[in-house]
Amino acid sequence: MTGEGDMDDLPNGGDTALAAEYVLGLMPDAEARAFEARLAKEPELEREVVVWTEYFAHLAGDVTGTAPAAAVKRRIEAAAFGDAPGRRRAPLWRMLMPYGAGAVLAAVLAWAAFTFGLLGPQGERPALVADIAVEDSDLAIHAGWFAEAGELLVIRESGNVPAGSDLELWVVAGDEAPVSLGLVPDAGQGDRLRYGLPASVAERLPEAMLAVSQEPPGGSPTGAPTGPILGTAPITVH
Amino acid sequence: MPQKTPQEEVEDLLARIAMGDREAFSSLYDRTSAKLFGICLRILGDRAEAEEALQEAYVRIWNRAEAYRVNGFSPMTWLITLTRNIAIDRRRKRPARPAEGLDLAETMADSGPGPEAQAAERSEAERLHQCLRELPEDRAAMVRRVYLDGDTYAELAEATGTKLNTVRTWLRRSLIQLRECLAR
Repeated sequence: MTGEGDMDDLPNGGDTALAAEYVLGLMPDAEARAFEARLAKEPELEREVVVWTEYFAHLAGDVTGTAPAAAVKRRIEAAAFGDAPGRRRAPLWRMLMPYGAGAVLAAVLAWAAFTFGLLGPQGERPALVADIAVEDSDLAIHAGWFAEAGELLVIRESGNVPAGSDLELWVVAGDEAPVSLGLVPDAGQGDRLRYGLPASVAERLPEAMLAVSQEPPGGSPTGAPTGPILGTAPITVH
Repeated sequence: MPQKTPQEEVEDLLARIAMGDREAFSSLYDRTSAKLFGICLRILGDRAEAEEALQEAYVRIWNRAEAYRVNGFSPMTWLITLTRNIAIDRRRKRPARPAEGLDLAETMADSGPGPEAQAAERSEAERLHQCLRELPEDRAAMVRRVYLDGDTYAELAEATGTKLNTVRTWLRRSLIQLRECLAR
C-alpha cells in the first residue's frame, strides 16, 4: 500500500479519530479487533467511542421518517415473540419457569413475593414457593414453604373451589408417588390455610413439583390423586 | 407529577420490554419505527431489504432490551446506532454496486434535528451541525455520507476519484477538527 506515511502524521487526536472511525464502521476487521482489545483496557478511549456514538446519532435527525407498511409490524412481532427457545436471553425468573411467561405471570410472582413477605410467621420469607395457574379457569394458587416454622401456606388467590368437590395439593418428587399436602381452602375457609408438614414430606419439596387435583369433598379417599390434575408448577427457591 | 420527557418515556418502554412486556414493544414500535425505517431505507435504498433490516433491528431490541441499561447511551442513540449498524452490515455484505458520484447538493445542507428532539438534545445536535459547517463542504459531506449512507473508504475513494489513503487522511483530519470544535 502506498501513502502509508500520511496516516501517521496526526500528532494530536489520533485516538479520537480512531474512535470515530470505529463508530462509523470504517475500520478493517483486524484493525477493529485490535481497537476493541484497547477499548477493554482504556476507559478514555471508551469514552471517546461513547461521545462519538452520541454525536453521530444526531445525524439521523436529518433522515426523513418513513412509516413501514402495517404488515411489517405483524411480521416483526411474530418473529420477536415466536423466537426459538434458548436464543432469548431471558430474565432470570423466566428461565426458571417452564411455561410461556408473560406480564401476567410476572405480576403473579411479584404478588406472591409481596404477600409472602407480609404473611410469613414473624415476617419470615418462604424458602420455597410454587404458583399454579389453572388453565381455562381463573383459579390461581400460591404455596409457600416456611422452613423454620415448618409450615406450608396455601393461598387461593383467585377463583373458587368447584362446587361439590375439593382441590387437593400434592408434592411430586421425581418418579415417586404423589404425597398429599392438604386441601386448597374453599370459600367458607377464606383464601388461605396453613399446614404443618411432617419432615418426611417437607424434605421432598426442594426440586419437586406441586400439583393440584380435583377430588371428592374432603379429599382423595385413597391417598393418591383420583380426579383430574388441574395444574402443576415447579417448586422453586424463593 | 411532572410530565415525563420523551427520553424518559422511551427508557420506560425499554425497561418494560426487558421484562417481556409485549404491549410496551408495540408502543415502542409505533413511536420509533418510522425513524428507524427511514434510516434503513437511506442506507439500503431498497424497500424489501430495508424491511428485513428493520425486522432484524426490532427483534434484537426485543431480545436485548435489558442490555440497554448498562451501556450508558441515551435511548434513541441506542436504537439508532443498533439499527444503522444492522443496515450497514447488510449493505456491505451484498455484491458491490457501482459507486455513485459524490453529489454535494444531495448530501449537504439540512434540516437539523427532527421536531421531536428535546431541548438538550437539540442544542447538542445544533452544535454538531454548526461544527460540521466549519469543515470544508466536501469533507462535511463525506462525514454525513459515511454515517448516513454507510460508505466505505473504498467507495469514497471511487466517488471522489482519489486514493484510498488520501481519503482516509482527509476524513481523519476532518474528524479531529470536528471533535475539537465539539469540545469547545
